[in-house]
Amino acid sequence: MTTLQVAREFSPYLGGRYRDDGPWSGEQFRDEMLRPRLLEAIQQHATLHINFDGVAGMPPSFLEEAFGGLLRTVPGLELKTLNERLKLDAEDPELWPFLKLAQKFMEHQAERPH
Amino acid sequence: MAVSKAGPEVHGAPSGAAALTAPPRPVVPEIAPAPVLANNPPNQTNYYIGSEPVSASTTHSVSGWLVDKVAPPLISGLIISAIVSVIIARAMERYRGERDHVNRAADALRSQLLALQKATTAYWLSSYDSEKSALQEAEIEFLLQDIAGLASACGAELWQNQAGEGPQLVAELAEQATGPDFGTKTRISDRKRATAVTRVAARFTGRLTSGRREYFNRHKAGWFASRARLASKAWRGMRRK
Repeated sequence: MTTLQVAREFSPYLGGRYRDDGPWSGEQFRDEMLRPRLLEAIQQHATLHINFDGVAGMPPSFLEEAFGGLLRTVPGLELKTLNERLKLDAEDPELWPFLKLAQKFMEHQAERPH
Repeated sequence: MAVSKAGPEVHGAPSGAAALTAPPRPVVPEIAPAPVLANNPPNQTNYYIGSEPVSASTTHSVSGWLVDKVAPPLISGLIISAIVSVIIARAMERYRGERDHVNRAADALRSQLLALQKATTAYWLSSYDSEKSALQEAEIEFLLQDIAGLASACGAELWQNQAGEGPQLVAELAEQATGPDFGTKTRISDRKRATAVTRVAARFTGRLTSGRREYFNRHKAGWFASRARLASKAWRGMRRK
């Protein structure tokens, strides 16, 4: 099991959807942190825990681009694999709805035709 | 008082021959009046402890009795009643404060939900606009974050864990307000989404209101309610016997 502490390893202030929108965007997070770490975890048959404690907020556009975009940009990646290898977590109760929202974005993306 | 046969007649004794034949009557000495207690000035109230009179000079023992027997339980009672009143006042204050906090959070939540409905309706009734969309998106994201915080503050019963009803409701609201195309440059207007937010917000408000009522009913007056229930139960048990 490997853990990715978003606030410490990426930024506590998550940005918008695209790199053009400013720093710490969902696109940047997906390309620089999430995708390499997830692929490594899949290769090692391990689970990647992503902890969001310490972030100031979780913008929906950031979440959609990071987690929904993961299924768009990684060929052959399935929702089932993501559910097995990726766990989103936070102790802060205010962040709980957004963990669920990220999960919903992944499900929506899996239902969409590629 | 001395009695003499040759001397003057004793008051009440028989005279002459009768006196020689009749047996002598027993002499009853005069009973002295009850001695007046020394140092007892006139008009001084006499005190009694049991049947024993107590002179004024010994009244200091009454104050001693008060100090020994009355004062300790009186002082203990005062201390206990002061502590109990402080505890009750603190419990009531805490309950009132909690209730005020929850009510204020609920009021703020309602106004933020209204603002979210307006913002999402305006956003989803128009297609992507390079000038306006970024501002609208930032406003919606801020409102969603604020709503999540307020909802967790005023819906403690719905917010027990990640899978609780509260987080699910806010997630549903956020999903309706945003969706997969939120923030993209290819977004087109979506009337269904614009109206769905209002519907979900209304359901969310209703559920929070009922959750808050349940919470206060369960915690109403806390300690007092639980004691009243226990007393009522005990009373019913006694009546059955």
